[in-house]
Amino acid sequence: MNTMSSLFVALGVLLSAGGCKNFAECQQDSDCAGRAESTGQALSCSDNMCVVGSPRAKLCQEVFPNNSPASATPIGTLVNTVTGNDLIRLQSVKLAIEEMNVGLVASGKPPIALHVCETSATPADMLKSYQVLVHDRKVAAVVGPSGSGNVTLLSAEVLEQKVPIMSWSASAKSIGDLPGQGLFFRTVPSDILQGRVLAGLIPPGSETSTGMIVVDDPYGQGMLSSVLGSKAGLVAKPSLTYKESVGTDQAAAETTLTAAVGTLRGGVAPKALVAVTNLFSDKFLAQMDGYGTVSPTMPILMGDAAKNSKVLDLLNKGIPSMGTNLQRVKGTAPAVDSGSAAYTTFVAKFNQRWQGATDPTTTVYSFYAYDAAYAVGAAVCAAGTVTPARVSEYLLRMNNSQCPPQERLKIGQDNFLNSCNRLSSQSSLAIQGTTGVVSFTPHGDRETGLYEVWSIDVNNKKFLSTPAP
Amino acid sequence: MVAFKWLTKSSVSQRTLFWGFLLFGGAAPGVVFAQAAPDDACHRDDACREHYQKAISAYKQESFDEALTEFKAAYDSRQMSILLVNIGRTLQKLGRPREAVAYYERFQKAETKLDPETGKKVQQYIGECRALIDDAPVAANGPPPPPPKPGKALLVTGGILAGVGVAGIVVGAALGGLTSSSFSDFGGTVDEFDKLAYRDRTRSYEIGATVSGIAGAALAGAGGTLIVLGILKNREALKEYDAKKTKTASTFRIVPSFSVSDRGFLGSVRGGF
Repeated sequence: MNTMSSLFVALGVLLSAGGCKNFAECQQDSDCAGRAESTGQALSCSDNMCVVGSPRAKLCQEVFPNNSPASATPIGTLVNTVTGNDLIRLQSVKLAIEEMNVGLVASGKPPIALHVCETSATPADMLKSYQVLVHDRKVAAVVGPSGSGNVTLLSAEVLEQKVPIMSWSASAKSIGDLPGQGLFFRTVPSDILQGRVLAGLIPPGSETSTGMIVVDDPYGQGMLSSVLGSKAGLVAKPSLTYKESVGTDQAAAETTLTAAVGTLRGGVAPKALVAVTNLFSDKFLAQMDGYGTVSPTMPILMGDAAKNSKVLDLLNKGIPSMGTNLQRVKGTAPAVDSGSAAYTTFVAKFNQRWQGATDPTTTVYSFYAYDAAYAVGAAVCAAGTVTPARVSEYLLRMNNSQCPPQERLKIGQDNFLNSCNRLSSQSSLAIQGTTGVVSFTPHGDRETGLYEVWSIDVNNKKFLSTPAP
Repeated sequence: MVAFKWLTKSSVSQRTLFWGFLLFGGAAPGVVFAQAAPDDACHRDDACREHYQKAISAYKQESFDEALTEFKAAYDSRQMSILLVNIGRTLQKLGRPREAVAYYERFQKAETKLDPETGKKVQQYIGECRALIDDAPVAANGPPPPPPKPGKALLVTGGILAGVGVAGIVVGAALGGLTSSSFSDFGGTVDEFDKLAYRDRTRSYEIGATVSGIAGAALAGAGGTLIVLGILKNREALKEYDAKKTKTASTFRIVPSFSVSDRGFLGSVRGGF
């Protein structure tokens, strides 16, 4: 009887230790307030759990087209259309999806369903959205996100989940150094190339009096490294950094920008200023108003991320000196193949589809996003059985920047099926995109790229571009 | 305790048999003692006589193994059929009734002209032996049979079930520990996908722990019950066995026997407790 009693006591202990766990931590966000205080993070209530970031059910609410059948092949996109500049890029991607789906449906293949994840609500949403796409939506690939910081933020998860991403604007040199092959694709070329072009804009004789202010992320640091390495005798003086909102609190990040600009303005203006900014480009330029504008004017040389509509919007704020401030700004950016048929067709289709509400030519990344969507779509179509690994495999068939023009895969609704079929049976190919010849290294970097030098037409409130030498 | 030995002389088979009627106390407690003595042929043979005397001496000292050896040696020296009776009696003392019967029967076959008194006596011995054989039919020729164990199958089955059950409880307890650990991890993170993974894992462990624990406890309980039943059954069988043994051992019998021959009145009484 003692044995029997021991057994049942053991069972009781077992059940009390292992059974009846209550997983409900909250009913609403306010229930997580105490926990948020102790963790120092903003928490929300999702599925009765207190979690960082937005509830995952709210992250990817749009599926495009909204009437996608259940058999559609899911791919994802990570965008910040609220506080970022991704609206036009998202429209470019959607246009590409619509065009490709016409061909897919006509050939009896499943169409593509684009799962759109908005990442702007909290700093944690970028990573969470990627996880939602991978775990919940089972996507085969992700188009986006913008920016090298975001790609870096996702890198560990991408390496773990092995669902490839195709960024349109993550140009940081360090992206090419990430481990893994065929996971971190980008249609924008690496800043190794852009840094050389940007360094070439520094006026002769200014090498020892060039200030530098860069965003403290892979994009800023990579560009800084590339600029410094491209011009002999160049010394950054002063050399300042600041933080943006990626992965940090935005208000606190703005404070770091203000502090850096304050330090700069506290000293004598250098002969030239290299400013590698990203989402805070407009904020930075606004704070530079009135500094270094007395003759000789200090040129402000910026990277591609500064070429965005928010910078032009500064001219609409009624600040009289803003024109003078922005007139001295020059920058470099990956360029587009503006003379090509692909470019012309895309702009026309874009304006037709979105009825002129937005202008794709205000940012080159609308073109890079369009090419990115086509590259992924062609790989999905050619792969047949769609898995992340097969999408990656077929993307890497676009690996020949020297591919003769007549053999390049063409984009656009009428050409897509032909490109898909050729990609399914051939390798050593390249896409003839709106941004030139799109092909990838084994790692996923763009093999070659076009660059431009831009400036601001303050009177007409638009960017002016010339091909980089 | 009493024992009797009688001596007589018979003319059976043209030989003179001496049936000694000797009385000695405490030589063989609880049993009837009687032995046959060989005739002059054995006494005249030094080897036979010597073995015979040793046998008698050993028998008196209840060294029945030695007595058996010596009687057999005497018989080997001189094939006196009456020695077969002595061997049979000694075997009977040793608790080997089947063999004893065989020797008695050999004696009966060897003595073609058996006198009635001797024949009756030998028949009586055979009867005693057969009674013993009936009481212990299986192991009459070897050591006493082990007590029966009718609960053995229950013990084996119960042991297996209890073993599996205890293993189930141990696994359940381990899964219970993992459940607690995983639940703690669930509470310790604010990453939604980590939480989801920990929640799923905790639930899986929880189910595993509960199923394994309950199934283990049930099996252990069933096994334990079978073991207890097996033990009880064995105990009961052992009691019955012991009771039967005691009953057999405590049987009291006393059998008087009388006969008249040309050498006088001969009589014996056999008895035992």
